[in-house]
Amino acid sequence: VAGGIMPKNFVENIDATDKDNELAATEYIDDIYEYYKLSEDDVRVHDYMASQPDINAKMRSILVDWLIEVHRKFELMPETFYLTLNIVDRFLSTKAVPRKELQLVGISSMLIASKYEEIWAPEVNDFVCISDNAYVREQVLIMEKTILRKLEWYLTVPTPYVFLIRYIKASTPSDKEMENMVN
Amino acid sequence: MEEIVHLGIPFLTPDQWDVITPAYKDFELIRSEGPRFGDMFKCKLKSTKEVVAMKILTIPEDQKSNGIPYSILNHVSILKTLNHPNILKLHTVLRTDLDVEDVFLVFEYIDVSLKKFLATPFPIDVIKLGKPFLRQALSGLAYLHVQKIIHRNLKPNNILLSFQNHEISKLKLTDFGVAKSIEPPLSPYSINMGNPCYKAPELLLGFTNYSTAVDIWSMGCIFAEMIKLQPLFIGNDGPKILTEIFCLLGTPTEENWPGVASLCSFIQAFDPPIKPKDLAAEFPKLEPDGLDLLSRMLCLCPNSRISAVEALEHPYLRP
Repeated sequence: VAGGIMPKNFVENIDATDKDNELAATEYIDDIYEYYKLSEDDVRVHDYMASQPDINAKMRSILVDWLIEVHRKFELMPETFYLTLNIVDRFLSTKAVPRKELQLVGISSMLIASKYEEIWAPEVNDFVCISDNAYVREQVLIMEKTILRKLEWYLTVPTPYVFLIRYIKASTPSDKEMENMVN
Repeated sequence: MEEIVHLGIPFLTPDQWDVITPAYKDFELIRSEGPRFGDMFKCKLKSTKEVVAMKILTIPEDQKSNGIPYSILNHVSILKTLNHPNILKLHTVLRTDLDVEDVFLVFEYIDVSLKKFLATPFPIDVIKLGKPFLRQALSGLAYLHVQKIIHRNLKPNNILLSFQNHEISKLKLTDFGVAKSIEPPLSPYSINMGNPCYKAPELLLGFTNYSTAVDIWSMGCIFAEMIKLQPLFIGNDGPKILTEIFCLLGTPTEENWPGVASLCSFIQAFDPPIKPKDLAAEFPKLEPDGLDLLSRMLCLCPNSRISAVEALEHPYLRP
């Protein structure tokens, strides 16, 4: 990956130990990341808070903290969390959302992300329960459709997670604390 | 609503008609893929008279309470990322009323699938059209594979063609219902989808860590079928197809597919091992370069199988 900066033989092959691990897909891992790098810009979200009349950055950060809690409670995979945030931010950058619906956007985004990433995704009712019945099932289902329509169904996006796991793999000696921050 | 419009496609519900009839007319069923993957029909956009193909993805009744299922999220999300001359273009996802849960996909319209052409009394002249066919089909695959999308269900049904002056004017890969985008960290994938006749040996042997090479195998089978005018491997289940594969190409060995014999007891059952047949005798019409490319696409070991990008550089396909 860093071949352009250093002579090739100085770059440690961080995939060498995965040679026998078939799931690591060592033959085409470089291709995958090259493609991610190219497509990253297409889905990058710019600062949209100025266009939101009813919510601000502080409220977003409260929502994100709460989503982290939900994510932990449901024991979801890290990639689900990163995709949830990507969906929340892309949606908020296209549509003004009233304060009282911000949490609805959060759970509906996590519902979509879980279905996309998890083998066993939580169900709509689980999300209704965890938000203390602040919304009913029909609201979540309608929001799910609204989000998908606004995002034009683009869910196959490189989130920061795919880059972070790569960087952690490349960092030597390995740093447990950093790994925990990503996951 | 007039009763007559139902004649073309008897499967649609009144709700579905309410969604599509304001903007579309002249419906005609073109492909039936069963309720899970949706029926495809041809229709005309009222405003521009453009002919399009429409596919309705229905949510199974028992899943409706949970919103849009994974299969539809994955299907549409992959379609939205694709834009290539050899891949059937998704024009739009119809905006539907909130009380209709189905998802309506509108595609460009291409006449006929390869399967239909193979069934006509005057099939495709492979000696003349084999090269342009493979060039376009592999261009589409190379585009998918660079993005790390595996189609996983290539068969003559899913290759659409149109002709002009006896030349292939358009070739489009379609049906991404079970396509998969490879994302790190990788996890095991399902091996249960797709028609067994076109399934790669690693899938039939139960390897869950397969990759884009499975599509190349299917394309090799399809190319061979265009020459033979019948499926290369015929059978209803995995073991039957695997046996057919080994009868043609020989049982895999530790030399040509390292690790396979020790992992799969199925192969050890072939004792003594089967020797590969001479492909030239099986495909007498095919020129030597074509035979060489076919044998590389039908290479048993997925890691040694030719990739779509490499295949496009093969002497058989060089202009």
